[in-house]
Amino acid sequence: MSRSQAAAARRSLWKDARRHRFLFLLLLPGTLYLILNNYLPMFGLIIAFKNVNFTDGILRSPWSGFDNFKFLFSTTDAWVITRNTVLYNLLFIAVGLVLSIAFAVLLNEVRNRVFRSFFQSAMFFPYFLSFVIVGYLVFALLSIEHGFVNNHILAPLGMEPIDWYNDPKYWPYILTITNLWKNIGYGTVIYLAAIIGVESSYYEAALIDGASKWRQFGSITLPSIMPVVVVLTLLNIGRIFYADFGLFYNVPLHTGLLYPTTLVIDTYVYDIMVTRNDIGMSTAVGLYQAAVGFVLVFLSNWFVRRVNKENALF
Amino acid sequence: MENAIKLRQEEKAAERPRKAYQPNAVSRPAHAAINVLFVLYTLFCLLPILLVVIVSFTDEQTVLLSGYNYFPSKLSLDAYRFLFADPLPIVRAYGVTIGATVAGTVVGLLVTAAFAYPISRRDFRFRNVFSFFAFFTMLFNGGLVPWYIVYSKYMDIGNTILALILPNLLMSAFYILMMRTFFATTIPAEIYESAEIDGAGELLVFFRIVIPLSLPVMATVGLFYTLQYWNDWYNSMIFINNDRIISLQYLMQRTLLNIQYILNNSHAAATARIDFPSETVRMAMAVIGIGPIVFAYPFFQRYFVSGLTVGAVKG
Amino acid sequence: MTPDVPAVESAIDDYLKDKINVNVKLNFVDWGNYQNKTNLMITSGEKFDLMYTANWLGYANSAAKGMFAPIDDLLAQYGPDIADNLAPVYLEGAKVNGKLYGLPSNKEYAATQALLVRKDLMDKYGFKAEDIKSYHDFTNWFKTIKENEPSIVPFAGIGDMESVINSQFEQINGDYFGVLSKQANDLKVINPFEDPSFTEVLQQARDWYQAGYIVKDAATTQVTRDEFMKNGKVFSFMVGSKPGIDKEKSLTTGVDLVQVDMDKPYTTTGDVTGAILAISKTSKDPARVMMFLNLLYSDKTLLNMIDWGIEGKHYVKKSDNIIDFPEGITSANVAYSAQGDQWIFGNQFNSYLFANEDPKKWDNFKAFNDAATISKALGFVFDPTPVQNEISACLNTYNQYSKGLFTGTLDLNKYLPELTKKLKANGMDKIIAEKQKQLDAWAQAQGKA
Repeated sequence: MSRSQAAAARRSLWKDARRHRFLFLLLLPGTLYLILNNYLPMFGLIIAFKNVNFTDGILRSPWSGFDNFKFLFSTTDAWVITRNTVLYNLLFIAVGLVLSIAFAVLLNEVRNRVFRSFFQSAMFFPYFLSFVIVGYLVFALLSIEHGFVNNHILAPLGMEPIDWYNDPKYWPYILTITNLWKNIGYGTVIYLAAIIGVESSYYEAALIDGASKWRQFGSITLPSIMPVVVVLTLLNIGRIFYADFGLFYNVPLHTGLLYPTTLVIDTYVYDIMVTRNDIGMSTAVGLYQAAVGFVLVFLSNWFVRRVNKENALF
Repeated sequence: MENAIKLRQEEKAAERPRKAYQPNAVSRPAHAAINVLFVLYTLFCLLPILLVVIVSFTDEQTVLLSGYNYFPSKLSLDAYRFLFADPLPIVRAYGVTIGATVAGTVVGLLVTAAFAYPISRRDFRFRNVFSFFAFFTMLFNGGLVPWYIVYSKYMDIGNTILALILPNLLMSAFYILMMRTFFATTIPAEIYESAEIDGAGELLVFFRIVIPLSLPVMATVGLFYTLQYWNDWYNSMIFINNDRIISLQYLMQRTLLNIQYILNNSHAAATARIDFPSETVRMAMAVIGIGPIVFAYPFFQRYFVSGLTVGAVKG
Repeated sequence: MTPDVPAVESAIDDYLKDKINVNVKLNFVDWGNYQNKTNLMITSGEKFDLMYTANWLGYANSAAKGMFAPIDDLLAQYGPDIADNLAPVYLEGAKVNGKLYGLPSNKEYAATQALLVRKDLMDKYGFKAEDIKSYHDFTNWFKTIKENEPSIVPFAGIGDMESVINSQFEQINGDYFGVLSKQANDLKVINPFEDPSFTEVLQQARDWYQAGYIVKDAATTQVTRDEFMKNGKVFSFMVGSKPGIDKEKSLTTGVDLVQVDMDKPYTTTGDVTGAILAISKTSKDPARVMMFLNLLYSDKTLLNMIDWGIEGKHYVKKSDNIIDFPEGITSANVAYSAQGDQWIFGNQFNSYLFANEDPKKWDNFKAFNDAATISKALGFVFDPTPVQNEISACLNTYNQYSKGLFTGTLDLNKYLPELTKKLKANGMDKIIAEKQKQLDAWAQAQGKA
């Protein structure tokens, strides 16, 4: 780039910035907030590489390289917790996406407004409950002593009671169903908002062409909500190394025997931090989870950009 | 400006015929099937919640000896009696929570929309920079201690209502990026051009056109913010040392934890009798916690039904 | 429920004005969030003077990381009356790396394990405490109950077998990855999972569980044994014990209980570090804090102000050391009391007793203390730093199996070998070797080897 070109680019950059000065004004409060709430504390990330003691203070404590990360990999269960975390998240993302869109589309077809509102509210209801309570409900369902399933379903059928809390093989299903039950209403609300936003003139045109409902869904609804689908999925991929602590801790009632299918990074770390309050290690875990998510989002975003630049996250 | 006012009138006019005439509806059998599906799914969602309510009104001993039951042999108000033995803290906590929720949701929604709008504009050169700036905060954080130091030491908002509103809850990058996508897809770029020709300022476009046209997404994010504030106990635990300004959920969580502590710890409160029905109290607290917020839901839901009339804009 | 805190604070200030001239500010933190909140206060460097801590709240670790001020010199200079009012084992046991970082409360410093049994059923079937020589003897009682009282489960079994384990082994650093035998009382670190008496306990649990003597959901239920007892579901459960525990638990559960002691009192490092007051590193005037502590251990008036509030307002005196609530006031509506947590402050033997308590409580405590066997390893504090990662990994493995094995829910022939093997793979031997190494070095320095 020649000097005059560079100068011209600078001028046009400045011109653009001036033209959109009001947009900057709108960005200002949010930017300040993010700096305060997120970027300032981020200097704390150095703690991940320090062996903090309070005689020296955080800044003067000695560096410790990657020591704080080691405990994540020094257990024979390292593979299990990583696998569980990633697989559950992939499952939740995929099934959650399909079901939320399906519910949103179907809900939009319900003609009676009262019914529609009622269904929508009811679906959202489980989202109000905390996972602590959900854990108790699942226990009420599955407990060996008073559990509903064992006493009122299996027993009348003449089947042996199942000790659900003693066998890890059931838990991928139980956790997935519980999670969907609680969160599907949330996804449905988002996609419903997206579907309502689709211009009705498109459907009117499709109707004149005699397009079937299925065709309308494939060629109008889905493409219209695609940007929302892509962004939400990208954001979820970024958090693929973070597990929903409430779900994995409370719903299996921290039963050790179920660890092979219920232990995830967040619960593993929690159990250790209860006995060891080490900010170096907890910071290290967060950094590890974020870094993996970051790389994955970067790759996925690059891929999305190649297909459709408009849909990319950045 | 003219244009914007016209839009709003058209919006109202466009609503009426939509209600009566629905040429694009599914066939009758399909419609019936959809309704049946939703009835079943609704039961699946509501029955467990009904159980929570029933257990909260069940006698504690009945629960301990025979488990949760839709038709308990003995009912009791003990759980609520225990929780409302001194109603003042609960009433006060309701007040604090409602205040923080309303203030936080309104301000948070505005700040979020104001941030999402510029980065939704394709003609805004710095959109990717700011998008990334927001996205980055979704993944990386410096951990609890530095974050706590920023608020308690430098901002010095410990033990004030601000501590229930500002830290972490006010604005989330997730909703910024979600809203950005909605703005980008539902608001036609022509609006900005015509607004520019009209000489309407950017701020006017934002407040008079973008926000009214985006009511469904505003309602969605508003609902999520409301729930987030309503359910928060963490900020109260971390920042508040004064029982007058703690949130309802924290009051609940603390009661629960203290009960657990007393039950599990031999040296605690050695002279105190276990005079609380802990199993049913847990459920009663869930009921008290979700009770009022359930009524907030229809408020937001309104905007899902009326809502977008972009077609009218173009027409 | 302490609206009168400011009133008590000013009463204390008035009282101390001429003595050491300080302003006391009492900060109550709920138990449920105590660890979270205090950790945050410490790590973020907040300014405060004195806090309650304990081994189970990470006292040794926090001390090693420099969160508390070392107090040996302060104690010598400003705490002349403390030594007279605090049993010497405490100062011995609370040292970390040879330095003292906090003052333990003076109370019972030993522990025993006991079975608590419903008195009515014990009388009904003529059970005698003398018949119990070891925990195996419970089987007869359980059998009788199971056969004759169909609606009652003989034994709660929730965390109860750990009591039996604890009566035989001394934990080091709060875990089972390398323990000392209480019977031998020597300095040899052993692996409990390979010890026959450990297996014996688990086998007994398994037998009881299979015979239906233990609550079926014991491994998963969130209901505590006290609640089961209160609601009449169980006949007995076990507790870490001290004099008068039967009375205490009878009060909390509302069921008349009898205490069947399992072993003799025994004192370990863990027992003397259960309640410690430590001076924060961020304290501006540690010397004055030590003067305050000095009074807390020696001055009866001050201690009881903190424990019970203001005389006449929050309590009335019945006699010299016996108090009760004033007319119309109960434990539920009293405007100030340390809420049953008096044991965390200073010299408990100076604290007033309530009219419904055993007037000989403190004498019993003293007798109990005197009868205790003192562990040879008392005062040894393990520094886990060199084997942190191994401990984390083993802890995770242990959590996976422990509840199932201790409640008898799991078949130990299948799962105990699995547990032992996984612990080995995660570095159990390395932890044991490190514990032994540090213990030997400590013993040598103490001249005990």
